[in-house]
Amino acid sequence: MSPPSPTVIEMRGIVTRFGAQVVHDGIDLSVQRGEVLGLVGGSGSGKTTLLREMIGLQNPSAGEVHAFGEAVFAARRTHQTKALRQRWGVLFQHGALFTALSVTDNIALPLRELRALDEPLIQELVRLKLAMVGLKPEDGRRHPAELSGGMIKRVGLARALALDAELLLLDEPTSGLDPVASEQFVDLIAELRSTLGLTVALVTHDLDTLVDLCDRIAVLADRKLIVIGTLDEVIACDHPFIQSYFRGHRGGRLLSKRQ
Amino acid sequence: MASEAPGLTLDQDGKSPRIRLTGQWVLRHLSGSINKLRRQLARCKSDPQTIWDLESIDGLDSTGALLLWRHWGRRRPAQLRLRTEYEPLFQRLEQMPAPAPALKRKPLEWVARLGAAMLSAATHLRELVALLGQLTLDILSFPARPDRIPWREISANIYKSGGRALLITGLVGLLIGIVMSYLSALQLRLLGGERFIVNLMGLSVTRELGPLLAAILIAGRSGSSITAELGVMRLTQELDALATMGISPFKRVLLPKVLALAITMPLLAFWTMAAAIFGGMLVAQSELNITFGQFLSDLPGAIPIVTYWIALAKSIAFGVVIGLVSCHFGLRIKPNTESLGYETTNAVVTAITLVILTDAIFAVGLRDIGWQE
Ligand SMILES: Nc1ncnc2c1ncn2[C@@H]1O[C@H](COP(=O)(O)OP(=O)(O)OP(=O)(O)O)[C@@H](O)[C@H]1O
Ligand SMILES: [Mg+2]
Repeated sequence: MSPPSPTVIEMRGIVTRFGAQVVHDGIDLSVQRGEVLGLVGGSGSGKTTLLREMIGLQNPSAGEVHAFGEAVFAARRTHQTKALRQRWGVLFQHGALFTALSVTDNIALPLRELRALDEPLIQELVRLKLAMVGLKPEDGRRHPAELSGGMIKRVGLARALALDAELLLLDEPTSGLDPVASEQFVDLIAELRSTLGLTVALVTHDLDTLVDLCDRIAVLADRKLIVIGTLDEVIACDHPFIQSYFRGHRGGRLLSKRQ
Repeated sequence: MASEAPGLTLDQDGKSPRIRLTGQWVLRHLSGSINKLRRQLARCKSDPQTIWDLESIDGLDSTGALLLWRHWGRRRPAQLRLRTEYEPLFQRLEQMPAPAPALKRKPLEWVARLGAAMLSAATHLRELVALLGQLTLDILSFPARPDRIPWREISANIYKSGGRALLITGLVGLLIGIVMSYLSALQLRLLGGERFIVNLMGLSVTRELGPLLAAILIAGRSGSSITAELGVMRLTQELDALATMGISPFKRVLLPKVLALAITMPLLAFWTMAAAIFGGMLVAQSELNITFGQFLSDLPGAIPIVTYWIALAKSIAFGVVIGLVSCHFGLRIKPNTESLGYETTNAVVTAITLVILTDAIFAVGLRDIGWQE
């Protein structure tokens, strides 16, 4: 990418408290255009919360969040919200599919909401997105309750991709997918990135995805962002969490394979 | 990055026509001008010599690609100039599977639907009876294993469905009592039978109004909450989780709710009666000059003791009906939000209807009992 790439998401001095519990204590994080940023950290370290704050679903106790140069939480109350929201697609950790709608209608919903496309075009776009995430056209008729855990993830991803948004926020996109599907996911994101110039921020516990896909990795631990940088930079850090996360039994095996 | 509007220019100068696409062919920029672009595209007759030049495009996503693809008749034009990074978009379109065949509509579907509706009424009845049977069996098993009685759940449910309903039932009872006695007071004054207000209010409130009012309020209040609660437990697989631990959802979840309603319903009914009679007393004092003391000393004589027993029996029956119906509909909820709303409505409507039906059965069955000469 060209050196002075503009920032898509900028978080400054984020503090998050739930009652007495402090989840984030002064986090500065930015997502650059065109990059894939991986967010890692132990369970309950506040990755999902940080992602929710990026898109204004949750207001941090202190600090500022800007997306595409606009203050996210302030935009919630203005007409700009809508324009902003069409520029990102979100995959929730637990899918958050609309249970009353079929798979097709779930994916078509954001497209229909634009009120610009006609129904045949929407149907075909839905079919394309389903194929992208490896689902069959017949699956479109099913309802979320009739899907397997991995299928829910895929439909959630297809819905996040529906608008071909510039920014994708994915919360554990590969958890619940079999290894083949995870690999397909990595290929899909890599492809979308080259065609659409996509920016991605993703939370993952999957070291393979991290190694194969992410340009930069941000590590959350002890309520702080302890390091952000390329994989090598991250591994070079001697924080105990990183030592155990990447140099533990599994991480070590993976990294040695990479070399 | 340039954010130009998508556009196309037709160039006829050379040997073969050349169509040059410019700007951002992405959904965000297309959605405003899609019809204009369609018309422009339609004007470009696509013959094999036409050169489609996409090289100076600023952005292309699946919507833009699909728009072109449909215009091209779902194949690549013979002369396509394309940057390599957009290659995968068209490869995906080439590989796109055919749409799933439409589901055939069966002939005479409305006959089938009518039949299904009739059968479903029968199914409801059967399932309700089965539920009642299951709960009865559970109750019968308690004496053998008294340590298995879910006391905590029962008491929690009594608080939820009874304790928290005191305010609303009391208020409604009071208001209805005032309205009723006010109307009767006007008539009684015409006839000169002011003191009959005690008999009129006492009997109608204890025998009919109190239990029925309380039951209808509780059907709306607790009935809907029980159905929704069970529905969400189904949605979130909590019922499955209970079953895998060997904990019977019937015993642990449903039974305490039904039992609690059977216990609280009569209590709430008497509470509502008291509130309604108090309302009657207020009106009797202000409109008919009957003091509280007079009213209260006449009251025991006006209401035969059997009326209380009838009210008690009725209220227990109402409680069981509300509990059973709302549990039944709660268990029928399918794991989606629409079904949750649908069955909750069904539960409340059915519970209120059945309460009134039960009341009518009591009224007819006990028509000769409890009237003073
Ligand atoms: N709405 C909430 N109310 C109270 N506490 C919350 C809330 N949401 C999250 N938390 C707490 O904040 C912390 C971070 O939660 P979060 O969901 O962001 O974790 P996570 O990093 O995504 O974990 P995982 O990898 O398990 O998904 C947890 O300790 C959680 O208990
Ligand atoms: Mg999470």
